[in-house]
Amino acid sequence: MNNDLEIYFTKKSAPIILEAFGKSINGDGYIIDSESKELILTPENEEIHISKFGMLKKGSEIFVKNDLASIINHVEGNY
Amino acid sequence: MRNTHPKSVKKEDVIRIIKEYSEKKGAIIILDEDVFLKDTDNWYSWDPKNKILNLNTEVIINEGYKKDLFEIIRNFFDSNVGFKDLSIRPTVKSYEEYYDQSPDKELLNFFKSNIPFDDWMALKMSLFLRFQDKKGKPIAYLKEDITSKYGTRGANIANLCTIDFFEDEFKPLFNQLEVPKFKEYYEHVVGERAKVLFVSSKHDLEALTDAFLKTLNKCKTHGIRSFKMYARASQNISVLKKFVALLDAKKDENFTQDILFEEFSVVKVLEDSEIPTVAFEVKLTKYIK
Repeated sequence: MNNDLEIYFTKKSAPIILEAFGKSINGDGYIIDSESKELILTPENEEIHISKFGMLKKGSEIFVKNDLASIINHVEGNY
Repeated sequence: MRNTHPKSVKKEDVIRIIKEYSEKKGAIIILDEDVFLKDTDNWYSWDPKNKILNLNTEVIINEGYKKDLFEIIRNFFDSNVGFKDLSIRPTVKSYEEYYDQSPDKELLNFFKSNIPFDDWMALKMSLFLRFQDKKGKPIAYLKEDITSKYGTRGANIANLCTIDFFEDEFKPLFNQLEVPKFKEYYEHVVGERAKVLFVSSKHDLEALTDAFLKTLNKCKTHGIRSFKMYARASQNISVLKKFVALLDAKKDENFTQDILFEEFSVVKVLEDSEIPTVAFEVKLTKYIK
């Protein structure tokens, strides 16, 4: 496997990524587990609106927002 | 020049093509990039110059390969490849560059245990914003993120950061004052915005007069002897200069509120046409300790 590989999704393909991992979006636009219907939380214990979905990282599954604080934590290896 | 594939899609081609291009050094896969989707109804394209593999998931799924696509996605994930929103790519790359250079590491280390943690995080974000600003990169969305997370306090820290306030004022003061005194002063500036007034697009002359009087009164109440008024961008500079000219004229009829002109003096302390920015210092001649 190419360790340099980067994969990006867009607004259109974000739901595809979610569905591949058994997640979906509830009526209010927040990411939920498709089976349990529980809200998916970030490492900061925040709910994620689909418009704020920034990353899906390894470490079981870590859902991260697309805001600056999350980007800083990602780059600095805090997740 | 991009290589594209004719419309008919075979399952083995989907798997082979994705595997082949994903293994190239420096390869990037983008799922459903807008420009690619508008240009073609092919299921993929490979840009050899930029090493970008564009995939059209709708075509792949319509051809009946949803399950295979999901398996490919999960295999990437199991091999430690994460997925990112394409729109944040420029910011991630910029922050990686900034983090590698660490131009503000010393300043951040200095304040880490000297200011509240949330303020320190806002400072960290603001220093990056300043870095981007100096490079002429867009910053409005970064400011919005800071304000969204840390409110008016965060916005104030971002503004103070832009004018090097942490280096030029807070750091020397921390070394001069007893800790409780520094904290009190810090709170006045960051929490109560007593020391600096930023002129923004929301300030017309009347709003600026109001903000000026509020800042003046806060300084009088807390025994702060001066404050600065900053404006960046030509429109804000114009409003501020007009306001200062009216203050200098000292005529009551120019203002809808009472102003005690003898309580302060105003002096220009900065004008930079390159940025552009202008700053005036307001020195209080009367204050209550």
